[in-house]
Amino acid sequence: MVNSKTGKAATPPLKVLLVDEEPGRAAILERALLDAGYVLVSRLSSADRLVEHVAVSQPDIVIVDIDSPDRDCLENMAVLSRSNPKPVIMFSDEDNEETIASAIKAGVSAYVADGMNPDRVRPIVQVAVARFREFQALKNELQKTRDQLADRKLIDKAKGLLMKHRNFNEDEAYHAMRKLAMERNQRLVDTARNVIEVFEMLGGGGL
Amino acid sequence: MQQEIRIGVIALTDSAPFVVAQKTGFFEAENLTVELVKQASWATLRDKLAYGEIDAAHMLSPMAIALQLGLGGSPKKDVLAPLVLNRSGNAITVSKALAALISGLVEGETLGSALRAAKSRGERVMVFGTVFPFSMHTLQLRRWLRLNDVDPDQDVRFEVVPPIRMVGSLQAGLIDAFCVGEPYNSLAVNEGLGTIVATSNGLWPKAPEKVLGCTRAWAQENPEAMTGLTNALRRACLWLEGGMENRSKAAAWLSTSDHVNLPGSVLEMALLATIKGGTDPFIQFDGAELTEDQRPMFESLVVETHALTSSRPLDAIQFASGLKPFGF
Repeated sequence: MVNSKTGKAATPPLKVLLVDEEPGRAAILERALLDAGYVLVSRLSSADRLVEHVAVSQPDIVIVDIDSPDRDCLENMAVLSRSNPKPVIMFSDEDNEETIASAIKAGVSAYVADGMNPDRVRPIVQVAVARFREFQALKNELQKTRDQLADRKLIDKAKGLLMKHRNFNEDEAYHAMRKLAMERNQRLVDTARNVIEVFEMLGGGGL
Repeated sequence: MQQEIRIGVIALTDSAPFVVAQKTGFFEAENLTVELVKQASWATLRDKLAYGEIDAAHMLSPMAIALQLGLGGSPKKDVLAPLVLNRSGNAITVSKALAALISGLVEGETLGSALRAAKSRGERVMVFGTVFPFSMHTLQLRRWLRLNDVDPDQDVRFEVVPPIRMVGSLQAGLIDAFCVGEPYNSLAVNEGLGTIVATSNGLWPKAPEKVLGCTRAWAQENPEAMTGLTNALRRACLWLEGGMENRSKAAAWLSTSDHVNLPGSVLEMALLATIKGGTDPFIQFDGAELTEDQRPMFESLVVETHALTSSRPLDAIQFASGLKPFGF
């Protein structure tokens, strides 16, 4: 098989095992690794029986979500190399501390079969780091949208209360809150929250 | 000026000094604003410390040596472990079946000879649960096995099991014995699943269980924070040794969801209870500065930690380097 990235035909593609509880992220990474010409052994969504799985499938590299509680079990395989036919060791590429530091920051940890050439492993770790980052950015974006939507709902509710109890029209209600927010040096949503609390305290919260 | 620092902790009973220093304001009194960041695994705590994602950590004492020497795939970093937070506090619990095997040994037979005989008959090798390869738990299990004529590298297998899953794994037969801190030994006994065969204090008196860890580079860049951190944690350890009322308070703080997230009664059991007829609480906090008379203990620690990954003897340079985190 010719690796499209390097053009080399000699070495067989690497077997990668992916352990990630985020199915969405795992799918993105799987696609990226397949496109790059690596053989994916399997994708585990939970690290249950991880050690057994590694012993049976003998991957060249294991990519694990850094927040998986089962990382410690893999560490055990790294230490007990004497009892394992193909020990895994943590990928700690001393020539390229940057790669490791950025992997940890992105939430990627990697274990490789003992004796693997770091030059072959590094690109896989880099692909994983890039995809993890991309996924995190997507997640942040989604969270931001959700927060904005929730803010909008609160502001609308506060506006509604002002319109009902103060006989404001929508514009007046909005401007009254805006003014209050500026005076108090608050975000509009926090003012809205205060307005709702006040009306609820007065027993007028149920619209 | 308050300095902000991030400390990585594992949600265990012995993370108490950190939680106490936070809740009582001991950190604040040292001009430190501390964020305690719960870590999902020891490996992640180690990596985040090594690469600066956290400034300091609640650390297994053999982990400091593994980091210093780069053992077993650990990143190799100059580290400092200036404080022992707690000493001892673990016990070894074996399954009812293993307990029966031990009590049924006849004259001239040892657990080791029995296990080797079973192995040669093609029987399954017994599995011992520990919490992390580089832990006092592993070293204590290995000491106990050797005392019973068992070769820890040949006659049994070790598996890492998070403390919270120890009792369940023993019940399910996934492991035959484990070494863990309280309350899990007592829980296994209370549920009739296991028998305590040794305490860590019996195997290794005053063994340094968890330490405060940081990189030497961080300590050098932040000398004031380093001093403040050790002062606050030392005070917290003293406070924890200051009577049962304090321990009860600590149990309540620890039981909340942002810390250990176990019922207060279980944590009280871990922090207040004695074990096997003892009179003092099983878990002992320390926090005192390391003194020269403790050097031999730390020398054993370096030698035994190194032996986890290599059957070759430790050379003089590695030996000296392994002692450095503790200031010897």
